[in-house]
Amino acid sequence: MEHVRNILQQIGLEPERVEMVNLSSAMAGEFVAAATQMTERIKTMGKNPLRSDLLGDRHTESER
Amino acid sequence: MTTPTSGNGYLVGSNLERVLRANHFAVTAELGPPQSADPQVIKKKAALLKGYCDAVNITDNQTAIVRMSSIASGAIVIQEGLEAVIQMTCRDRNRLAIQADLLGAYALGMRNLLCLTGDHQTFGNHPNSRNVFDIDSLQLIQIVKGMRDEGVFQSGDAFSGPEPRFFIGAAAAPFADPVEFRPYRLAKKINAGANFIQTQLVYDVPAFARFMEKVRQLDLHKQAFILAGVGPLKTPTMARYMKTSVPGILVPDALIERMEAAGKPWAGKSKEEITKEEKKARADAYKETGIQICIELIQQLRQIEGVAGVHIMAIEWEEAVKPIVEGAGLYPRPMVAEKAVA
Amino acid sequence: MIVADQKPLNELKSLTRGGENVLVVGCGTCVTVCFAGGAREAAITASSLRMAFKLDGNSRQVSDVTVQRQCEWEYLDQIAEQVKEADVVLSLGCGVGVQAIAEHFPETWVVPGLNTSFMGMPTEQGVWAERCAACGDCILGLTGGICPIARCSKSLLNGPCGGSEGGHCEVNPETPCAWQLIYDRLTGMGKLDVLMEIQPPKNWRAARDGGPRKIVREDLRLAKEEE
Repeated sequence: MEHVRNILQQIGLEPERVEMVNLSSAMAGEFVAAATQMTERIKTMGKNPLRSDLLGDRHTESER
Repeated sequence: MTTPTSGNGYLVGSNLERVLRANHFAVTAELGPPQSADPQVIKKKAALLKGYCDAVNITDNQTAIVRMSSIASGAIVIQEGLEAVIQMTCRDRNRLAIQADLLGAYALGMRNLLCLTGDHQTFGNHPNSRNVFDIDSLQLIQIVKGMRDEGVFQSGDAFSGPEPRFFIGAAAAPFADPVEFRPYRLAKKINAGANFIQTQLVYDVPAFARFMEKVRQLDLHKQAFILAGVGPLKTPTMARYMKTSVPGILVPDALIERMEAAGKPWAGKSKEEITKEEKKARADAYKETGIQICIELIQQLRQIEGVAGVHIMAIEWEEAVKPIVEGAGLYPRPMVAEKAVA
Repeated sequence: MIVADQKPLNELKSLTRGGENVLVVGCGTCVTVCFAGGAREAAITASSLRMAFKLDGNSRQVSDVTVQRQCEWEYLDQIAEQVKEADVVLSLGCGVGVQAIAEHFPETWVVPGLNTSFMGMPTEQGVWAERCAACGDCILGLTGGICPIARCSKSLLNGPCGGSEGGHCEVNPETPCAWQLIYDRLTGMGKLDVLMEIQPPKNWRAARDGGPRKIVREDLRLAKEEE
């Protein structure tokens, strides 16, 4: 996980965009909490810049 | 002895050799060349040491920090009327450069040589440099001996004309690991051709006595002159640093406590409270104790059978040599005539 | 094995600058087992570069391919087409691999993606240590199978120096003192006498100091011609 985060950082993305959580099937509450927390985190970080870039490209293309 | 001599009964006939062969307790000191091209620094230090030692070791880029070269500094030391012990490490030169420099050193009047492996360059001020280590200290000893006694270069090529005749020195680290091997490594150096030995700093006399016991069992003290390394402690901090951070140096707690005790009158004062005058007085008290400890160490080491002298390493504190030599009763230094010995 | 380490992505970006079509070439041998330049690393590197280029606002093509051994022509022939299409080849092979590609494809611009570090082995999961310096004149028979050329910081033949403390080298406390290892091994086997011999100066001509080295096996060459 640390390796992946390091790669993301080198690429220029926030390393916090990935997270690994170990849960057993009996840990429903924890699963919801982790998922919610991750969703919140991603929302505050905003869209994946790679995706917005993609949209941007399309936009310029249609303008041509 | 079948070794060829200089025709005067001595191997080399340097002052250091004459003093040692006359069974005087020898004193060598150390002189660190400047990190500049200033000859005055050497002259000043030489003046502090003149008359207080039998020869002066000139370090060779000590701790891998660039300084005026050992041989150039040695030439100045000789001009000032002292005898030099040139230190030569294997870190910065290959066998060509070493042999060439030794021919030059001899031509300039140098007669004693300390063969060292050399501190690793990563400790110095050019840590990105490449090291050489074409040969090691043991092989260096053999090469110097071959040039002196057989008139051959390392390659085996014989040369005609005067051979460089050096009184060959080597270092010993009695307390470095593996400790049990150290007397044997010393034996290897002596077998290779070392005539005199200067040891790493000794503060733990009983530990050194144990080393010397083994040395005597191997009969090494009769094959080479062993000079115990000593050096005055400047501050308790220096003492602790050497104990914890320098491999191969043992500093007993009692000595550190004694250094600390010297600063007692000023204890309890914070950095802000202590005045400039008090700071100087404390530094002087430390120095005085350090010198006193050094004197006592010399006196104790002198009692150990097989110790032929001391090598005083007062690093960047050459002023300390005079009071140490006087305090240890080793002043004045003997004058041994250059006549042949039987 | 040859052990290598990946260069930082920024350096890879800078090395591949100007190439619209980048081909990352992995190698299936040494650098695969040291997790530096195998198929997996080639794919991750290509993907990382694609993302990084995109973030920088350009649309350069990055693809990847891995060969069994970059250091042999016959394996390189298999990727000739892909190499031809690329503006720049980023080799994740060792220095030998990079040069093999350069030599085999004279028209192609090749850059290294790894820093080739040493010949060594994994000593534990995720840790590799140097073992051989390829000096060309093996002395392991004199040192109990522990190489002071590769493993002593000063490559001493008559060690240990005074910087050995507690089994470690003063240059790096994480490096075992090779001469302590040699001493322990030889004394343990009752062979201290081997250590008492003074080893003469080494013949460094067999090492890199004698110039680039080459081995020619006439027996093998002849065999090939007879086929």
